[in-house]
This record gives sequence, C-alpha cells and structure tokens, in this order.
Amino acid sequence: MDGSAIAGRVVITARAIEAVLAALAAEALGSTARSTRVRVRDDGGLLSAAVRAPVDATGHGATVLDRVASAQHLIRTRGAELTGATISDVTVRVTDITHRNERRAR
Amino acid sequence: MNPRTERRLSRRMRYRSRSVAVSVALGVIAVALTYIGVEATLAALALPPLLLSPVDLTEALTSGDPRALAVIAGLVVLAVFAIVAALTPGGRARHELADDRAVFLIDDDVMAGGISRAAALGAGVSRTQVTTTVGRRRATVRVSPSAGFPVDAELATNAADHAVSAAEPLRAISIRTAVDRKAVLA
Amino acid sequence: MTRSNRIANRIILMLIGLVSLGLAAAVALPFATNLGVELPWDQAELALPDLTQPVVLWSIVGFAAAVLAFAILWIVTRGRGRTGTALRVEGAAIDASAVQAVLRDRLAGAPDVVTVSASAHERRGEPVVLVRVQARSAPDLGALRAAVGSAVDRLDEVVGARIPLVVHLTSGVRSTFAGTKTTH
Repeated sequence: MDGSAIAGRVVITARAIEAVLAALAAEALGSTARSTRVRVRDDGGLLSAAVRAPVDATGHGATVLDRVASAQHLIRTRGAELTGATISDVTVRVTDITHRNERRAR
Repeated sequence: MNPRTERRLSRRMRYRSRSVAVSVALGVIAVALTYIGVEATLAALALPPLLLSPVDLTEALTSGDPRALAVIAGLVVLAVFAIVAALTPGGRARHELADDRAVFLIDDDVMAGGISRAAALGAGVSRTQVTTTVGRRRATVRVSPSAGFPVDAELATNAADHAVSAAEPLRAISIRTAVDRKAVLA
Repeated sequence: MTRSNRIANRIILMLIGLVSLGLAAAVALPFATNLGVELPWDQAELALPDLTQPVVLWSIVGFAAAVLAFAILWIVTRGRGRTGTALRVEGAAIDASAVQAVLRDRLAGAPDVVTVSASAHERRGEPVVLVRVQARSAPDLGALRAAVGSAVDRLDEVVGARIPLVVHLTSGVRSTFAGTKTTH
C-alpha cells in the first residue's frame, strides 16, 4: 500500500479495518463473515480489537480455544499487514459454538 | 474447580440459603412500614389520613378493637414463618451424584421416577403400578401387583438397586420394596 | 452465597420473628386483660408519645423510611451474580450460550432428555456454569447419567478446557415446597 507517488492522503477508516479483521477472524474461527463482528478502539495510540463471533467446532482436533488463538494470531500478523495498523491486543468473545459441517452418524 | 469450591457449590444447591425467605419477610415489613410512614406523613402535614391517623391507629390497637385481631393474626403468621425458616435446615429434595468432573445433582423426583421405572421392569408390572418415595438415605418402592401374577419383591429391589448404582449417588441409598396386598386388574 | 450469608439470613429471620411475636403480644395485651388473664405487671397505660406532635410524627416517618430503605436495599442486592460469560482466559471469553449450544447438540437425541439450558454465575472471581437438564418423568437413570457425562466430555473436547460445571438433573417442576421425601 505505497501511496506516496500520488498526491493526497490515504485514510483507512476504522470501519474498513474492522471489516478486514472480521473477515480474517471468520476464516480462523470457521464462522461466516456476517456473524463475525469486530470493534476497534484506541489503546494508547495502538489499535485494540474486540471480536465477537460464533466458532465452528467440526474441525478435527481444533478446539475452540485453539481457533481463538489462531484468530488472534492471524489478526495480529496478517491483519496488521493488510491494514498497516499496529495492533496491541485482540480479545475474542465466543458467542456460540456451531457444527455446521458435521454429518451426524446415528 | 477445587474440591472446596465443589463442596460449597454442592451445599449451596442442596440447601436453601433462606435468601428468599428474608426477602419475603422484609417485603411484608416494607409494605407495613410504607403504610405507617404515609399515615404519619399525612398527619404531620395536617392532611386527612388514608385510613386511620396514627392517633386513631394506636387507639384501635390498644383498646381491644376487634380489627386489632387481624393485626395480631398477621404478626403471628409472619413470626411463625420467620422462626420456622430460621430454625429448619431447609434441605432441598436433591441428591448429589459422584463425579470427578463436575458437581452433579439430581432432583429426588427424577430419581424416584427412575427407580419406579426400573422396579416396574424388574417386577414385570407396568410403570403405573409402582410408586417410589425417596428420602435422604432410603427409598421405598410400592408395587401394586396385577391380580393373578404375584410379584417377587426381590426382583424389584434388585432392579431398583441397579438403577440407583448406575446413577452413582454420593451417599448410598438403600431400597426397600413393599408389595401391596391389594392387586390391580391390569 | 457464603456460609456467613446463610447464617446472617437465619439470624435476620429469627430477629424478625421474635420482634413480630413481641408486637403481636403487645397488641394482644388489651384482649388478655378483657379475658381476665392475670398479668405480672400493672396494666398501666403504655407511655406512648403524643402522636399529634409533628416532631414525633416526623421521627416515625424517618424511622420507617430508614428501615424501608434497608429492606429495599437488601432485597435489591440479592444479585445472583449471573453473567453471560462461561469461561475467561487471557484475551478470550466463551459465552454460556456457546456452552449451551454444544450440550444441546450433544443431548438432542438423548433418551429421556427434554431440554438443556446453561447459565453462568460468578463465584469468587471465577464463573461457574449451571447446566440444567430437564429429564422425562421416569428416565433410565444409568443411560441418562451416561449421556450427560458424555456430553460434558464432548464439551471439554470441543472447548479445549474444563469449564467449572454444576449439572442439575431436574424434572422441570420448580418445587418450592418439596419436603425431604419425594414420591414418583
């Protein structure tokens, strides 16, 4: 995102950042982007992200806490990369646990 | 969850804390005091009373006015309620089940129903012919046999014992089966 | 609810009971004399203050208001410490509704299970989840217990941590007056 060659400022709105982070979180948590909400706020100049989303539990071996940790990691690395923001902390609130891909053997 | 917390939670679930009783008693007192406060305020402001002014109230209560009987009755009811609540243990009809993962509790009526079901199967009668009463350490199973088909109480007791052990109560429950002399026509 | 709270409740109830009894006796005095009951002391007029004086009246209002305020405060502070958060670790929180979802899913086909609900309660800094399993009236006890146990195991597996739980098997009928002996 090198905009230095063009005159003017590039401002990335908080909403845009939230959308990017939400998409990343949804990917890591196995939820839909629609059900994933991210709110960012100022944390002493840095960006603090609060994620609210359901988590899908059908991945073999991946526990909910594992997926939460990977979502946090993804946001901190790829999210910071994509948005250019420096992210201080990522908190995740799991609102639901779904089994969308599971085929039940009865 | 450490064992101490578990014990505390278990106790909390198996006995009433009397929190509700206190709230009820305080609620009644609050209503009475509101009324008295209103009458006193009206009298202090030289306004007409709601029902009876404080002077008239004390007059009615000390002169043997029959309406005072209602007040006495109310106070006695409150007193009995409060004292009984204060002194009785207030155990809930629940049993704790042995489990090292969680605090596991079962309502006695669920357990009684389960015992009845097992006993009925063991005795070869329908579920409706069995009633179980569950106490702290004992459960009594009553079977009304079908006419013409005597019931072996031991079979019922064994089946009930099995069901209870499958539930794994923390404190053993001993089963006693009583077969009615009167049979039912199925 | 701590142990001292339980004891305090009973002490409060005892006080209320004794005071009510005392008041009942006081109001009953005139009836006793009318019935000719012997009283140990001289039935003199109770030295009641003059109830037409504003000072007296306002102090009554003050007293009533104070006790009323205490009563209301007490009743209102009966917060059960109910929260929505079932588990908190650094940076992550799991809602009770998520726990409920897993358990419901696992117990959906279980025999004798009518409904499952989970609510979180704050207990000394750590939330505890109360799982209420409503069972049918005459369940297969062994099967029911095993089904609930395996659902909890699955929950632990899915979450990746052991959430403190209190599991309560109930018939659904909230019995306020159940005695020690229950019949079914």
